[in-house]
Amino acid sequence: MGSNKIETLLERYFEGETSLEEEAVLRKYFNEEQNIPEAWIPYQQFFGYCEVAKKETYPSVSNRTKTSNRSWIFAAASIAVLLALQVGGVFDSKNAITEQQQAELAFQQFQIQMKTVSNHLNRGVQKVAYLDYWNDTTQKLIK
Amino acid sequence: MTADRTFLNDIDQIRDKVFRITKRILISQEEAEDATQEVIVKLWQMDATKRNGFRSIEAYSVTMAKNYCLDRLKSKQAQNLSLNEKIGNSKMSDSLQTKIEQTDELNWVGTLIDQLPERERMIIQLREIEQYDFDEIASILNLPEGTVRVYLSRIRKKIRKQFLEIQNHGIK
Repeated sequence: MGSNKIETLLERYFEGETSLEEEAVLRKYFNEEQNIPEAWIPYQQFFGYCEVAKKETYPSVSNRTKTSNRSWIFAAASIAVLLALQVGGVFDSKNAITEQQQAELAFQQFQIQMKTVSNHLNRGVQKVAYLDYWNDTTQKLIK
Repeated sequence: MTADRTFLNDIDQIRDKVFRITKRILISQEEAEDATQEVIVKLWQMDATKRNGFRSIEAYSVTMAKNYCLDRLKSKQAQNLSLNEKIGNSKMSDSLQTKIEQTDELNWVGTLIDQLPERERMIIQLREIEQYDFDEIASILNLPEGTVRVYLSRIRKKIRKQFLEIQNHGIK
């Protein structure tokens, strides 16, 4: 496959004009070709990812349907659960870092905002203090 | 009985597909599993004649999965007010950078896709991974075909731009 043809296909690909067949040509090129120009390496990674993502299946279902032995099912299920927990755990610990950072940032922002609010509130209270004078005067008048 | 048999055969193919799509929209593995279960149960409970009346049970299931996921996201967003969405986004690019350094090349493509808005994630999933035709995507997402093309072009360019940025950072 000539790289000229791939280039024109890529151009049309980015305009959303390629058909599924033409995209299959691109996918085949990027997944099989050995000497890909350096500028196209990201595309290769993109198409490579799509290829991998396409093969993802619903977890642990084959264990459930194909075996009839009950203890087998339990063993398989518990392994699957353990695996899922482990995989989930890895994900969580990764996300947890950013979540923690985000939470800290949010907290900082919140503190700053609360300080501003309280400053304004104090200023407002000072203004309201004048009302006391007014109160005093009315008290005197009533007396 | 025979109808059930063919339904069971269909289900196996549909299940994986629905799982991939729901995982793309909801991101979380557990939630995607729940959503897939939900879709399968709904399909199962449906009247067989009604089920067989659909032109493509697969397209119908994908549409159902999409609607279910969007509902989930909506109720989630209603539950927790996001005070720090802006902060989160600016923070995202930082964490993406570190993530790229940590994980292998292919995973960061996934991270990049997962950071797109839901609709864009869905279009990428349906076109690039499940390889649906434009008219199928249009009917699943309830959008005109032309709009789907425009969206797709925009998303592809967006991803390309991010690729290039990341690449340039790598050189510096």
